[in-house]
Amino acid sequence: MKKLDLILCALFFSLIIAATPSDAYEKAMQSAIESLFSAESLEDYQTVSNSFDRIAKKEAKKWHPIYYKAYAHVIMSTMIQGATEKDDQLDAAMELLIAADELSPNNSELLTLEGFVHMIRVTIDPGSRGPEYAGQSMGALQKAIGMNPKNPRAHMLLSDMQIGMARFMGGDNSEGCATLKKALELYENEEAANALDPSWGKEWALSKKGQCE
Amino acid sequence: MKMQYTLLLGLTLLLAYTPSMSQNWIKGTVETAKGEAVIGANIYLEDTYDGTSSDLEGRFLFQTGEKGAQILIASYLGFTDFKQTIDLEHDTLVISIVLRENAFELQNVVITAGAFEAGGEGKREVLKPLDILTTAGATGDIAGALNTLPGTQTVGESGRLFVRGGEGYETKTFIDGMQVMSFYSAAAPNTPGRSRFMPYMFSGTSFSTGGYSAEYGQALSSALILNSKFLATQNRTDISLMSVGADVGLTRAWENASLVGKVQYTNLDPYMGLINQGIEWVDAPTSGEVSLAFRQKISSSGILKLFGNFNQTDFSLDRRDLLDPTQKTRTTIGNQYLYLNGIVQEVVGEDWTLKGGLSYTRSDDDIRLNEVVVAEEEAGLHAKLILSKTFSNNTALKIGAEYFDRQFVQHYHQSTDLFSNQYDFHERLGALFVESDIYLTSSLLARAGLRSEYSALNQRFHLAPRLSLALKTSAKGQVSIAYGRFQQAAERRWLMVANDLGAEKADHYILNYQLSDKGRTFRTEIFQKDYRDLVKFLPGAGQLATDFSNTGMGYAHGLELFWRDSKSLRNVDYWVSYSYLDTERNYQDFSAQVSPHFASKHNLSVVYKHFLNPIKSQVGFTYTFASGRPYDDPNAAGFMNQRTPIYQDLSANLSYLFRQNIIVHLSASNVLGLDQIFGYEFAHAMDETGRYPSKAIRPPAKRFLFLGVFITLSKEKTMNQLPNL
Repeated sequence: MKKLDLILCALFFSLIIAATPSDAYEKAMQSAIESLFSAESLEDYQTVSNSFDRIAKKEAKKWHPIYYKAYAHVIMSTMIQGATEKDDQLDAAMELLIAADELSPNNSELLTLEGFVHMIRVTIDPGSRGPEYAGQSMGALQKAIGMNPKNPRAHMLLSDMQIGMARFMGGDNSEGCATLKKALELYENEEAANALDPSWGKEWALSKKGQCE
Repeated sequence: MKMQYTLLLGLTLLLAYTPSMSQNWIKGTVETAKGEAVIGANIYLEDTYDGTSSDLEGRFLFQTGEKGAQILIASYLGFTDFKQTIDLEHDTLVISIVLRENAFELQNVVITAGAFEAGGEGKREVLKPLDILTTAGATGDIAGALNTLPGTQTVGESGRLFVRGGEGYETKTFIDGMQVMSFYSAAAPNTPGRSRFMPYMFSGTSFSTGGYSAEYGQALSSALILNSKFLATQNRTDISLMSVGADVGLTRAWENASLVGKVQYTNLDPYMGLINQGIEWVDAPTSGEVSLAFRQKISSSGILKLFGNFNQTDFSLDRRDLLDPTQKTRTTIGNQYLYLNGIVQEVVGEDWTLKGGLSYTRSDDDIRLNEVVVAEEEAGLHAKLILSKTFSNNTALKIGAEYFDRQFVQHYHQSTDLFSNQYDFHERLGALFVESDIYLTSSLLARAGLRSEYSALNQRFHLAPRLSLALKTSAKGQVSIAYGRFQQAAERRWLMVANDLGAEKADHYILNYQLSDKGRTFRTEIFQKDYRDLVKFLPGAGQLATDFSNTGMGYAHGLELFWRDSKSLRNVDYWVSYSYLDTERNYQDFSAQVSPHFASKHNLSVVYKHFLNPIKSQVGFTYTFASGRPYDDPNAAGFMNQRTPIYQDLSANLSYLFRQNIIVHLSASNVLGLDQIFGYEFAHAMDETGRYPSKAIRPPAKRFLFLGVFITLSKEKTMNQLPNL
């Protein structure tokens, strides 16, 4: 009987061990994600990027922390001045996305973020970079939609590219507006399979509705 | 009883292993070695979630439930990770962390003496690859665009890069580190040749006007280092319709590989027929070209690049004799060119990078001058192996071995008197090099290299030391110095006659200052170059040289200025280059040490580009000025003491984005219609009045006009060929 106690004890003990880290992972991630979407200053973003970095180092097989760290760098690239500084952030984001791709190949969200990186590259110097990076951005976003036709973020960013392109070329923006409409529909019906999956962008999409009215 | 015991034990375990029960505080500061606070450093316990970031004063504070011995890590971009084992016994632990700079990651000093980088976008380059392509007057020619940089001399009848008192052949080109022979396409006498490879192939360009790395040998004055693009990411078709021909390019991209193929046909006959030319073309240049580029990611760190290019060019013209203009020499030239290049790169062992490369060039010329037939065949092989590693102690090391094999044969045949002759040589050359980058401090970088070469042809062994230092003097400024010894085998036209000719040598000394701020760059450079062992000979009978030796010598020194500003004026980017050059040499058949015919004292280039959003166009202008070039007038006393008139040119171009995927490109040289004289040709004998008749060397036509329509078909519909123009 004493033996059984010990086995029970060991079982209980191992259950705690097994359960604690992943709970802690979820908890740490949720708290970091919360900080990410409430970050305001560059320092806030750097701090939250560090948080994801720590989680990514401990959980070497998870793509989520790398993804969010990359996202933080993309946002930081839009907040700082100077082409070199912006490129440094985007380079960091791209490096992370390549690492995340190894852990989670053919992931529509990772490609969406890659499309976002190329999009910011265009904005740094539209005259000289537009032709190359606009194509790469739209290519990545269309690929992301191919992998998951219900990805609202890929649609939203694609609509941004299409509308921007139409404005630059003096064409009409009906194509981009149709994509934006689709993005808004998808946001309405979006259900995250995993609490850590990306769910950002809805408010951004809503704020752009005005361009199409 | 037993049950209670179990529960109790379970509860105890739960208490012991639930982190929130007993917490320790860890606090402290993060500073650099200079005592500056590091903001946003990541401080954490290894293999836990516990950690925080340092605040604006470099302070940090966090809680942990971990016990016992733990490893505390502090990391920040550009610094080496701080690691320390700590014992979590006390309630609060106070730690002062000092982070050491990792100079290689920071890259706050780069060696700029002699080098113009046009590398990855946004980095510390002076020119972007795209800039090379949108420079007016260059018409998409790599050498044409680089000729607007300081250190180059305008030698319009050649089209090649003449650097700091060096001849055209003293600039060598490398693609992905591998030698390219015959970089310029075949051209009629006194008309410019074009760089063979299209600029769109390359993602980075480094144009060094002296003092370059020990990795690059067999280049006396300058190294043009072109890095080809890696994987293409999207399928596309490019169609170009030009006033001089057409081409079609196909790109196929897969997950880890891509293939780019291109077919081009150009024929200058219609253009030459339309616009009056100073050359009597029988058949204007016509060429066909095929190129293929395959790229593959062979592992997460390994890459494979294969590239092949084949070109056939033919043309024919009549040249009038200077003594008797009714006599014509029909010159017909056919050139077949093949270039193959392959490199493989992989990380091996303890973070060593291994790079292996192989290139092969074959260039056959068939030259007919009336009844004379000259067939020239050259084949060159270049193999290279490099091992490199960056060590954590701020040192990088590169070691490599190279092998060059070059065979050249010239057959000369005259059908009228059945005279035949043959010259040839086979050169085999082995080289070893080692080079190290060392950050002596975080703002002082040294690069020391040594190259050794052995040539089996003349059985001579050479050592070439290279040394560069770069010191960051302020946030935006830095000073660099460079010294190097460089050598290059004698030109093939002399080597084929005198196989035992030794290598020509030059010592470079460079002092450079560069100030770069966002969108603005100023740089200035002074240099001294000492030439020795240049090929020397005596003019023999029937224009055949005799008495070859390596006794020629010379010098060059000068001052160069460069200013670029893409920030001050909206949508405007411009740069100004000025070069002062003082050079003399006594080589070939010179009778004294004088300034050679390709050297002008003052060279100035102004490049202006303006993107006009309302008309979706980029307009560009390039102004070039060169002071008179020396030439020898046999009708005047003295040697090489005459000067040509000054040379000026204003070129313009316009790129119009007609649709998202269609670009119309128009360019014109010499829009002001100035008279441009590069030099003079003289007859080999006197006419009846006792004078040597002469003729000015001018561009074949006053202006060159180019019109092209570039169409890109892709799924995304947004891509166009702007990056290619």
